[in-house]
Amino acid sequence: MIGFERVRQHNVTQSDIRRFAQAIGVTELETAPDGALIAPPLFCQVFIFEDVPIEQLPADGSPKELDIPVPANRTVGGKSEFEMFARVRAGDVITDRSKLKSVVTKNGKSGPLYLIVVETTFENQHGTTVARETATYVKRN
Amino acid sequence: MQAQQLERLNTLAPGEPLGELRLTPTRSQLFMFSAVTWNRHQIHFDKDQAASEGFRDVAVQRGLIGNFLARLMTRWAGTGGRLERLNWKVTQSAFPGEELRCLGTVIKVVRFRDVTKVNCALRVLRHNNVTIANGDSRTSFALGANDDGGIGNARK
Repeated sequence: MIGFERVRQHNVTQSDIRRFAQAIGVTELETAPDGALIAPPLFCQVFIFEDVPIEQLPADGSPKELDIPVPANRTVGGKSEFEMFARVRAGDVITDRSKLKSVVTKNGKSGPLYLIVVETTFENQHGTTVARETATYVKRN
Repeated sequence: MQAQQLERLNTLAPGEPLGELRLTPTRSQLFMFSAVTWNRHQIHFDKDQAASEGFRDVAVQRGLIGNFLARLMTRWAGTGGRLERLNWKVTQSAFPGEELRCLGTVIKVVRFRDVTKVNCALRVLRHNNVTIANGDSRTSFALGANDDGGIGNARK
């Protein structure tokens, strides 16, 4: 399971960028000289979670990426390390590659914590890496 | 880059505050963010599920808190800056209807010939000044860039 890589491709539309901006409370967006909208910095978040049927998700609806066999059923907190190398704009075709990097057990105040580290890299149609996220999800009971 | 921005960059030093961004996430905003990121984790939209996991309301997504910090950074940097890196860790849950204060401080300024890189320490506080997230960032300012210089971010 560790090291397994999932690859998907996405077409970025003006609507995708507008909706993301509205969801995060951004009211003004920059545009490229050709009128294409330029996405806010963390836009690649829209690609992170798997678009599988809901029946394939854990019972609490948490992301499929976290459906791994650890003896814990709650997903809490966590952290993100987000690097942005180039701007994403409408018309881009983004390929994301997501990989389970590690699962580490730690002792928390109320029992064991399972730290699940997932790295996702985003590349545009020109072969340029536009962003990379290393996310740590925490599972506990 | 405009002369005023250049002057500001030349005098920028560790310790300078970034200002404060106050935000109050709503249930509607949490719904929109879950929808746009296709995050179907029920603790973000189902109060009963959230309660069954010990939360007093639906919980603000970690990703949305990151965007609040990104907004703080892009507002501070203006059109001449590009956010290159943002790290954040959620240490306590946040809930809709509660005002959050996003704050930051410059911690390091590195000047190269054509670019200045600025590292900042970041925090998100609840109304009672309890920290719910902390992090850090790096922003680059290309000294030769035009206003739209290929380096902008969403402005707010």
